[in-house]
Amino acid sequence: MKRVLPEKYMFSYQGDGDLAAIGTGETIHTCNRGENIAIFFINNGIYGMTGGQMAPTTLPGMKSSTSPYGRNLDTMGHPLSLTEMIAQLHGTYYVTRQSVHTPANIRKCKQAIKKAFENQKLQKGLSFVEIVSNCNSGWKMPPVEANKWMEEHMFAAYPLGDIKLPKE
Amino acid sequence: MKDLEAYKKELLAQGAKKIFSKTKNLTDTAFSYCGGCGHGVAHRLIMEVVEELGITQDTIGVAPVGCSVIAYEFMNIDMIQAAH
Amino acid sequence: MDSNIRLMKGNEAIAEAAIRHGVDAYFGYPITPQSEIIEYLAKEDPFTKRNGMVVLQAESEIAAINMVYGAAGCGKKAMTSSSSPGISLKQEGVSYLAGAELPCVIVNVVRGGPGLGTIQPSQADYFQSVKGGGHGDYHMIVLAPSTVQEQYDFVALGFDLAFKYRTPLLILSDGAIGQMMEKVVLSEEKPRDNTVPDWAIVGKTPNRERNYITSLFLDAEVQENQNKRLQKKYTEIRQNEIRFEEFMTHDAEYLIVAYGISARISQKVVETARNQGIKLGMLRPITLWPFPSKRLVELSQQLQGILCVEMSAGQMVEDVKLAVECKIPVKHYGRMGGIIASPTEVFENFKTLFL
Repeated sequence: MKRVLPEKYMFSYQGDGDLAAIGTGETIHTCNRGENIAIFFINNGIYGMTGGQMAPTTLPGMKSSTSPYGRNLDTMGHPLSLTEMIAQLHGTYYVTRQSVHTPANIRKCKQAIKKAFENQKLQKGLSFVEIVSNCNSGWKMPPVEANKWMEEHMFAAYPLGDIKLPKE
Repeated sequence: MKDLEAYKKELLAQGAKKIFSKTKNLTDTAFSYCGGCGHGVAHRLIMEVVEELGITQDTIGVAPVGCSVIAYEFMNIDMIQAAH
Repeated sequence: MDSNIRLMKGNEAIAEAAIRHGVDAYFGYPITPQSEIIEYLAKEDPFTKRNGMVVLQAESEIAAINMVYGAAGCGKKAMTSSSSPGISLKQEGVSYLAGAELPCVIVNVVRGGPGLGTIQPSQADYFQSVKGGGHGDYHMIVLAPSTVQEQYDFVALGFDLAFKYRTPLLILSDGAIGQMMEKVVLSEEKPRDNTVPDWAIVGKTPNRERNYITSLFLDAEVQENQNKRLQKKYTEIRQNEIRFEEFMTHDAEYLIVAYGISARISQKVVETARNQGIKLGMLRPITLWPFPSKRLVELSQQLQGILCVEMSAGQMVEDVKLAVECKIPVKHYGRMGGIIASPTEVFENFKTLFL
């Protein structure tokens, strides 16, 4: 799309299923080509819509409907930190991980989103903003508890902050 | 809905100040997301940034598969739903 | 040098046609026997050297069809090509294109299957092409070229039809036509057309509602209505777009039905038969979907039998039987696995089956 309409702003809004599982190949190659777009990756560690199945980002021991006894690293593999992988590619310009669970984090996240669009305007290449989020329904927790769980567990596996900054 | 408008007017008349308004880049459709979910905030932030940068007319979004598969119901911009 | 007549491979003709017709983007992935399409485009480099057409080698066939989906959503003329196994990979994308009503042209230079099969020509992808290879109730318009010239011409025709009906369109070629060299009369190079269809996503301007392209309709009734819309469109296509060619059918008592490379062979069979006083004719469907059923019914009044010649175990023969409701004998003859039957072989089998 960006190739046929290079003057427009393109962003994709993706989850851990389409970005880190079924579309991993496309994600990596899009980043590797350094397409001048913004990718927003909402990571909640689970497949929310289809009823809480295990995602590649599901944490060790975390229960889901397809890992009812908790994710077993021996048989189900490790959580995939796609964002760190993406940051290693030559094609990416800006890679960051944010969250939206407190007003302060929301403000920081907005700045990151803004930077992503500004980079696109300056034709800098690919900006990748991961937003670690909760899924209280999928995690079967009330929202406040889910946020607390996210701080304690998700952020340990997926630490917030900039991962790749422009070299300027 | 009318009552709400009237209530707003009344508050403004009493000296209340408008400190927040929803970006025009979000539609009036209520989010279908669960209470407490991060999608709503993330949608709002992206749409606010697009409005603040003045690039609404030139922005195209790609909606995913999952809860936000119908992101195009909420984001008031040109969008395409991506393949599974 | 820039003569309008050139000796070209079938695959090259498709690539040159894309540039000359003003196609906006080609997304492909190499696979034999169609790699010359992307190689030719890469060498011509139209993006920098000719009219700005985008050419991109994707990371997979799936990525390529989804790039076509994106570009088509932007209202652009986008195409992809592959050969049988690659086309199978693309089927989910094709179904999305049909569901979201996006126009595009897909080329299948068919090779022998199933599985990885062989790199030799075949016509065994007929079912996949005309019955809907992906999920859901949909059809693509399917054009079957039988000459290199038609390979060239059908790119322009394909985009015209695809945009007219907002539907994906398939050019069903085969390894023989893709690889053979023939004379091609080229058309004048057209500049790329910048008109934006009103449904395209190009950025929402304040004077219109937002556009969104989707094939998702969670409400079952809305989804049924979308299906009804599609079916109405397919009825219209059936009424208006059936294309076929006839050869010596005026007094024919027997008929060969064949498309693509098999039609070239069958024409020779008809000539041989005529030389021996046998009243044989041929009908060559150019659109495999919609299928020229009505014409077959008309012809069947004068016929004693129909032979379907295909490079498969017999696929199109089912549509021929359906068309004539098995009121006259309909037989099939074909070779498989990449073998092209010789005219003599077809003629001998015709005689055994009918005379």
